[in-house]
Amino acid sequence: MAADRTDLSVTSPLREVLESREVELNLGPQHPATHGVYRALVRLDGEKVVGLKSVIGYLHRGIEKWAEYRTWTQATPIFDRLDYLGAVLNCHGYVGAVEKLLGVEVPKKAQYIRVVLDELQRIASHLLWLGTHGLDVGAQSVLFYAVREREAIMDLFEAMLGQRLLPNAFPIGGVRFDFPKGWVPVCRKFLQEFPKKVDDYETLLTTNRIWVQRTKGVGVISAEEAVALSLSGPTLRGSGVNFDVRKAIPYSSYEDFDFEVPLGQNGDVYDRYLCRVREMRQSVRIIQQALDGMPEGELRGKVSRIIRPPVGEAYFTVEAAKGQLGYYIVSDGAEKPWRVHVRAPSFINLQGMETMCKGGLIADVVAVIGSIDIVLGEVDR
Amino acid sequence: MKALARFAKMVTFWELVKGLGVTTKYLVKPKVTELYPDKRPVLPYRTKGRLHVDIETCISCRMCEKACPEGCIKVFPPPKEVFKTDKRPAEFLINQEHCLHCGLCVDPCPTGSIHHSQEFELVVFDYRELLFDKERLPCDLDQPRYRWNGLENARAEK
Amino acid sequence: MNFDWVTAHVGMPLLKILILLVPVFTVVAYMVWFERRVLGFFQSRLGPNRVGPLGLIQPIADGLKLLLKEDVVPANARPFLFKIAPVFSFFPAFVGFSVITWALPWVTASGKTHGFVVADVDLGLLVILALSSMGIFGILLGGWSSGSKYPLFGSLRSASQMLAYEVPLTLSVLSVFLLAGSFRMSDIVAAQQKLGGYFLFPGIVAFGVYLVAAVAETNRTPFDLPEGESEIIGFHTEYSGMRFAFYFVAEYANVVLTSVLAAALFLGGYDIPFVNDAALYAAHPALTSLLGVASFAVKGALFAFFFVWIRATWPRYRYDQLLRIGWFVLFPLALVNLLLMALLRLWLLR
Repeated sequence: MAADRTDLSVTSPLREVLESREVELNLGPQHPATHGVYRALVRLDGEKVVGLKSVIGYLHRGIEKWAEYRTWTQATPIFDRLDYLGAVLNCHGYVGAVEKLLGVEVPKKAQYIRVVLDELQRIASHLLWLGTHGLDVGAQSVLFYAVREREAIMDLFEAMLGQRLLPNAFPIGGVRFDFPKGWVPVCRKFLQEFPKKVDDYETLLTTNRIWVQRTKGVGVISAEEAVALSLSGPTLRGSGVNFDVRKAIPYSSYEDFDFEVPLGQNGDVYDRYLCRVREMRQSVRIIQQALDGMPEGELRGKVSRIIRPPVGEAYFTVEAAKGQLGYYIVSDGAEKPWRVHVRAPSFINLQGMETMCKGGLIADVVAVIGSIDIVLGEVDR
Repeated sequence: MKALARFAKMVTFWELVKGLGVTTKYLVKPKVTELYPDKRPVLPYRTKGRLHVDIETCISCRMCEKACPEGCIKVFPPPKEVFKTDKRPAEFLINQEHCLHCGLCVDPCPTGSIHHSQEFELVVFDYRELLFDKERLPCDLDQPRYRWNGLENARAEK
Repeated sequence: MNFDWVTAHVGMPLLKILILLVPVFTVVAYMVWFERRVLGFFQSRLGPNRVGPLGLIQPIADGLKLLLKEDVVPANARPFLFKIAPVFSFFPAFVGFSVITWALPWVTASGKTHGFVVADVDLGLLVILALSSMGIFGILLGGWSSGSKYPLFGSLRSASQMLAYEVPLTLSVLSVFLLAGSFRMSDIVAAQQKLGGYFLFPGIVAFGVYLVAAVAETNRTPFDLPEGESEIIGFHTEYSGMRFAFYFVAEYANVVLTSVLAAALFLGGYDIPFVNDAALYAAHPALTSLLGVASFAVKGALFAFFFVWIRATWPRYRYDQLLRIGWFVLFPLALVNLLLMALLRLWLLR
């Protein structure tokens, strides 16, 4: 599909005759398509992008500093607010890091419940990504269909955890409660209906010639560059690199489940789109396996009331919806953390913006931002 | 033959027409809009709405005060003489404006007197209405409209 | 000053303009309601439903709101051009309605014939095409006089897009002219009635080209990059309040105009399907005219629905892909179709 691209190369004969200047356009913090307060300073030659600089920090809230003034348990709710669309995964990361430092063994049943909730959150996050990405590229209805599916997941979360968006899902050591009565059949019904809805989205987008023309060959990044820039998640897997934390560094019983990791080939927007859509289907598989094989047992490991981890540090990563989310915690023996640093996937993935956008048009910049799937809460913390 | 089929699909905009079919399908299906103030939502049992404190069972241990990340709860135990017989707090202040609805205060409570209710309509014109003291604290817990299809609402869940 | 002359040349046209404009303004305003409601229904939600029953008072509420907004003229803008640019978009959209015949002529008791048309020009179709070309000026002026980069980009894109799609539009309309033999709207409908069918079938390729070109001319999805609501926002970034309302209404008026034109050119206009119009007209002229207007309205509404349908479903094209389709796909197709239509006319429809 490379023939689709208009040749706007620098060697066009017109350039010798007409004098032109580069325009610096501010894809400003207030923009409907930048998924939050993200600013891109784009240098344009006509409509072609020659350079791009990301300016971030508009949503910096000092989350890591905030955590230093709270006890280990009190700090848990703030990490939901990092990637506010994938809150359960953030919570899992932090709680896993503290458990690693403490050496607490999370019971098997709690691990399975965590996997179910994680994967539901991943589906919810990918649904909103699909909606907003579709909206940016122009397909307006996909957003509403995606949000409608998300309602079902958020209802499940509300029944299980108490809140729809920022539930503060897991305490250190396990999960608080088991599934309420009647939750599992409702969840299974959702899992049965959901693949048909994904088929709908694919009918609307995957083979649609307009969508394909807009996204194939756009925002290409090669596998070597992606690895060099430390990209992760579907942004990396779209270029064909097989790295998924759930398979590479399994945590929370992920090694018990049988699922595929979708990979792309060309590293363009279309491949990243396909990766995420297929990941949604794989998440359905994982949840079904987890619900089927749910063991009996305790819900919480043995954790003292006031947590004072031994002096030391720990790093724990999870596969968040956006990529590899890591928590680096340092303890000095007190009941408050000495340092918590979050390796936010969206922040690292943004490094790829310039490589992906160079040579494209402005409309492509928006498609690329959508395909990296950034959430500014994570980028700025 | 396959090339012919592909050409036919391209000329007749076949996949675009299929997309039109998907949107038409939802044109005729029931709409999911909830008509909010006219029809209230039914909320599950575990919904973390406004905090409710049962003052009668509270023993002023102040575990919830220590657990809150935002410092929203302030418990004032009764004076020492009264405390020997009647442990109920003299004053119990909750700043609902800063409450994160995280549920960390509910975990350590030994008597289960503090927990979230299902009242979520906390919009006020003056934020001072969100500072609750002992008199205004208790919520109306057993309103019959809060019941969710299929899932338990009654306290009988535990 | 002959009183009859004044009545015939001033009074009657003014009356016709009034009879035309009031329904047209209402229809254009309620096109907004129609679009929002139907778009909502496609997206599994209700559209406006609070303001009045079924949300029917929504356009009035919107209009009032836009009227009462602050009139902001950016510091960098050129004030005079900034203020008059929306007018250049607004007027061509509405003037185009004046050459369309809405029904068979009305014969009064005294035997005088009044056509159901404001201006029965013999080049009616050309007038509409010329006016749609004029509409580009409003966008160009508005974008440039705003004094900021986003509107400038939007207006440049929009201007090139509209120029690119003018040509296939004109060529497809020319195919209809070849089939009908005249540019006058009433003659075109009469030709379709004489043919016994509508121009849809002989001119199916022209119909396809016309639809695509019309969607692009009116800046609708999938060709709405100039409005590019999620990218460059468009040429009307700096406009707010009533000036924005002018652009907005102009766009919807264009949509209604092209729908009505499609109905007239390809679906027979005010011809009532499955009924012998001439016989009915001889017997009940008033009823025929009324039913004619109704059938015209339904056919136009079908096209408007189609516009909204594709807005709900398909993504939008990027700027260079859009222009490529206009010049390299539609233009040759329209040319070839014109040739075929000419041959058809020469040999078959003698």
